[in-house]
Amino acid sequence: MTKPAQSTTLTCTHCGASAGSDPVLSGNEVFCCEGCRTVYDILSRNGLCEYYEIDPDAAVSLKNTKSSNWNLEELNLMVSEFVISDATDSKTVLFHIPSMHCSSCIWLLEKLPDLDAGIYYGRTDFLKKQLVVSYHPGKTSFGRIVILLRSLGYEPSLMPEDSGVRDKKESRTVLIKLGIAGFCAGNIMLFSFPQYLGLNVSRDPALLNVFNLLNVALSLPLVLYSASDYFLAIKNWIRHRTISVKVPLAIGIGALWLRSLYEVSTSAGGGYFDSLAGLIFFLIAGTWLQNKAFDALRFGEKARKFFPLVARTLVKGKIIPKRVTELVAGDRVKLGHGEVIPADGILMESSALIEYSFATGESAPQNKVAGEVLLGGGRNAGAAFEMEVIRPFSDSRLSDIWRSAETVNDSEKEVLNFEKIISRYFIIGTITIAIAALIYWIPINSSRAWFALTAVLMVACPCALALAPPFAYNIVANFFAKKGLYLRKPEVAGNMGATDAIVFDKTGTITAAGETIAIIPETYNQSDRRLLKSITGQSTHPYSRAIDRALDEEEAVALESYREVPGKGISAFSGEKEIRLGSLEWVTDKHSDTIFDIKNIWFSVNGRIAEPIEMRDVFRENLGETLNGLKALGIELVLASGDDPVAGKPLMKQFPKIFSGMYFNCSPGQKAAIVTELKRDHHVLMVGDGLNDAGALKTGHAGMVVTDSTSSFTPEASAILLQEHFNKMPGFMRVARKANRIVKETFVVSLIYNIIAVGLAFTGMMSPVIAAIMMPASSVTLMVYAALRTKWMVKSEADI
Amino acid sequence: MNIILLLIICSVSLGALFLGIFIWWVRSGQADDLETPAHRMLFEDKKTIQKTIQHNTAKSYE
Repeated sequence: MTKPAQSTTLTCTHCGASAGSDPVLSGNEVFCCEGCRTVYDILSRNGLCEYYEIDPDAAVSLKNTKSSNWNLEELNLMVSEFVISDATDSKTVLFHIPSMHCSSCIWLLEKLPDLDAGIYYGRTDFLKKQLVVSYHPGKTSFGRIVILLRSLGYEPSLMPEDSGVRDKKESRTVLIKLGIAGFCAGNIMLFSFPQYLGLNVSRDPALLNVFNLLNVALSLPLVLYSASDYFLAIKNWIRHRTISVKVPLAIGIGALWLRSLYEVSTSAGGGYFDSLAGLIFFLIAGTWLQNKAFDALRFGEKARKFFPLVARTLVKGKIIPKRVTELVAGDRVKLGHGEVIPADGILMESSALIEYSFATGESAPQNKVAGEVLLGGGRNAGAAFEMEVIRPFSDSRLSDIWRSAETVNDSEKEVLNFEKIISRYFIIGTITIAIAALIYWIPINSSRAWFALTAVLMVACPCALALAPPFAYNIVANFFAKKGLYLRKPEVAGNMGATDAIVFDKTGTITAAGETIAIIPETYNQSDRRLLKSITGQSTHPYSRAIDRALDEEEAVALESYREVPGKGISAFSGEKEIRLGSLEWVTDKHSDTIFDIKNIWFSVNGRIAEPIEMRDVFRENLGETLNGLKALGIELVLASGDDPVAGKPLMKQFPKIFSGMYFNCSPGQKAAIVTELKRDHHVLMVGDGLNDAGALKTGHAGMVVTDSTSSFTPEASAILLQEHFNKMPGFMRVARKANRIVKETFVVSLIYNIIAVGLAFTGMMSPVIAAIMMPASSVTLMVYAALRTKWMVKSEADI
Repeated sequence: MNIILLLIICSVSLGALFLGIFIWWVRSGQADDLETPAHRMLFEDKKTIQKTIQHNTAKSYE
């Protein structure tokens, strides 16, 4: 029932990790931390220890998990963002649980009613990492459920989600359309069978009629319901001038159907219902497969996800939680370390340390003094402080960033340019030829004229457009997914292949996110190092943390009268020694006009100033190789950073002449402007990571987000790249280009086919048998050609 | 002729019945998640005996 503890090193009973030097003991069990003990306690008291047996790697250590510290009352205020159905005696809420990862998780999360009697049921969706909980609002509350989940190590992400309800409806509709298309297509083929085999049905013409009528009846739901999307595309084309591959397909489907109806009604033949049914079925099957493959990934998280839902306001000295959207000017808000400023306000404390990296990309925290305006979106990097709201949330900068990130319209972005152009020419071409055929034949033979018109529209198949790219790009997208790059839509691969300029963000994209390393000079002796370790151990400033990490093995000594002045530095006494760490100004006590070099940290003991400690961004592994690889493909590289130019120096030193342009201190708007400028004569891919890149990511022809895991915040983008696979970028670009070449080849093959078929149709003499063979044959050949070529190509690139 | 008509009616209505079941299956939400039930069906309900130990734990960790 419990995991055996190894005799040599103590392992945590809950998570199985080493319990370390300071284990928590409870009865006979050993735990690595208080969190793990609590989970084990809850489980063992409720007889739920089976949790450990289903999947031995189920439990996650709670030692390093950061959980939010919202209390019950605050959590209860958030409920409206998560409710999916609401009644007096039952409420249903939808959570996203990032830490859900195995069968044991499913098992435990569905056993929630055993742990809280007010819960009716918990239902998990493993792929989407969702948990639906239904509960009695009188017997338990939203907050209690969140606290229960948190104590079990399954903290839900308390960010507003786009509820999965709408997606669900869409995927169900596609599945129903597919089902109906499958049913109709199967039966139509069955009833068309006698005609294929040339069975002598003339002996019984009534039977032939029955078959034809059945085909007509079956084609109604097929065309009018299953293929309705294609006809909607025609409507959009006429109304909004947005053209897509669906338009020529709809024209083809329409011509095929009307001609078949005409043939049956005049008893001229059996029509082409079988070709029609097959085509529609394959088209919908393709759509469904595409939808399904990317269920597990969460794309297009809105910038809003980053915003806090609840703020702690102070009313007469008491903390009262309030929804952020309800904040008004004059409210006092208390912000703890690491919390996000919910609305623009004025600092009421003497000083505060604010970090705006998420909004601007600038990684160094800024020092603010009493009375200064604090813009929403900053993160409190120092001690807790109070502020007074001056603008309600809806007018504050935070919601501005959000709006600017969301307004860029990308409805058409994924459609490739050449695809659009070809679609347009295809429509114009076929319609012109069809009308030409009509005009040519009318004086000679009017019935043949109509025959030729429909024949041209029918056989001019845009299948190369509709079927080859999805197949080719789907294979590429699946291949990319295996390698750590996830595309929002397979077509993005085509977009990447067309790219000839890449704009990179710096922080978090080409440097590892949130990681700075401190280079401790070798002149520091052991006593210096110990003092340094002791003083940084008490500070939460990112640079202190970096220095602390660099001195991992040193032992700390006791310090007195520790003092931290945000934006300047820290000081403390160790016995008689006064130690200081921070800016040069802070260490020397002298005011200087030189610009504060944020990348050098000074250290002094009793006024003796030591060599400065250099803070360095950590570049991604093999960055030089990766960038050179991209350059070798003829791609222009541009850097757009929200950071200070000082931070770019090492980059220029290490990788000279790689970037054709480097821009610093860019606001999110400026980044988008850089991309727009480049877009004039380039196909631009934007690569970024944070909210400050959101606008630029959408402005580019394609946007790629570099992230540490698929569950953390990612701005809306067309592709997500896991950071450990960053060095495969040149390979990805190369494969995408090859895929584009294959798609273009299929266009050529399709063009040849169309010239032959349309030529035959123009004569008005194409026999139904030849038409019936040519139509499916062209689709299948092109599909198979695209698929096999891409498969082989991907295979040859297996180790990018 | 007649017998073929009868067979056609049988086959089409049988097919339509299955189509109806399929549509009901999708609409009722059973097709939304095809992954989780595959895990869920392997769990055993053997721990009911131990549950008698206590019921009041939900309160104790608040």
